[in-house]
Amino acid sequence: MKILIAEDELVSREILKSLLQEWGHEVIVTEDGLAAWEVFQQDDAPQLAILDWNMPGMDGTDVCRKIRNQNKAGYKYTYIILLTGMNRQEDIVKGLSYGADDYVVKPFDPNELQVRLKAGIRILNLEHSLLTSLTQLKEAEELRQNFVSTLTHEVKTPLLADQKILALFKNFKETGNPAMFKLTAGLAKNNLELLCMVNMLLESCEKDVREIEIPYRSYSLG
Amino acid sequence: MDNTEDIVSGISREKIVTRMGGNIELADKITAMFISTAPQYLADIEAAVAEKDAEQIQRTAHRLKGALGTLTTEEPYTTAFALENLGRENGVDKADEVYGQLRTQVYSFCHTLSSELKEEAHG
Repeated sequence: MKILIAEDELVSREILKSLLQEWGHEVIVTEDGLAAWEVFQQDDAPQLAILDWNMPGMDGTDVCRKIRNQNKAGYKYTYIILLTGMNRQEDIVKGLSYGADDYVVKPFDPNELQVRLKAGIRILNLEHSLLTSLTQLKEAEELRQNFVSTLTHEVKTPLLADQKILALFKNFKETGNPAMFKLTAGLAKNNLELLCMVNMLLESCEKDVREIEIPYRSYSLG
Repeated sequence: MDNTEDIVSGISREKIVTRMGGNIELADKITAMFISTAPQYLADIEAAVAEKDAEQIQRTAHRLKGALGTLTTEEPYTTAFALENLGRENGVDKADEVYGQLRTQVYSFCHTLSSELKEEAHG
């Protein structure tokens, strides 16, 4: 998995980079928040980030808020772990309220970081599955609606023509052929009911599932 | 590097290797990296203390604490943490004294680490 790290302290950065590589991840290394934010504005930005809190230029929490507030087309969710020496409870609350998904206090235990990363990757995979399913659902719904729309139009046209033809036979009553009148009146009634159903189907096509928005565009942190 | 007395106890290469997830090569690399960067980190703190700049004291002590924390959570880590808190609380008057302790402890720590690395190299 491609993971971005933002850490201004050399020794911590080297440990983090080495461990992540050892665990099989592709690591993008940045030394401050500004550089990290630049990476996140690229199209192929990583979906997992480990950010230090205190960094020159832009803090890890600022990067968090910017990532959560961005709203560009095709944006995928970014799972963010704050990895920081800020270990007071109020720091943890503040860090998570800024949009981080997880919080690991330095000095960290490699095993703990590894399982927390696995949890993050699990969540990203679930999110990816959800989005894939939603896209497939929308495509299926579009196909269904196209089918219904085409079918109803195809049925409606001859039904309307039949109505006009049946109207010609309404004078059977006057010409003294009650049996034919009854037959054509019944046909006209059935035809009208079919037309009503076709119209209802057409109306239902206008309220469709295609209006469903793909979630995770932007996040309110309020 | 100062020839200060070794006042750091409980530092062993095994502990550091454990902290690196069992990666011996990484433990040695990080140890060497810390020994070479510590003097600059101390110099940055010293400059902040001399200028009585509370924010810089906090920031530079925090950075050294971060580097130390990769190797130990005992002294001098706790002293760096204390100095960071002094900066946070604007306690610049006491910073000079705590910095003195920190400097001694860090050099002693580096001395111990160097010995460990040399022993390993010869062992």
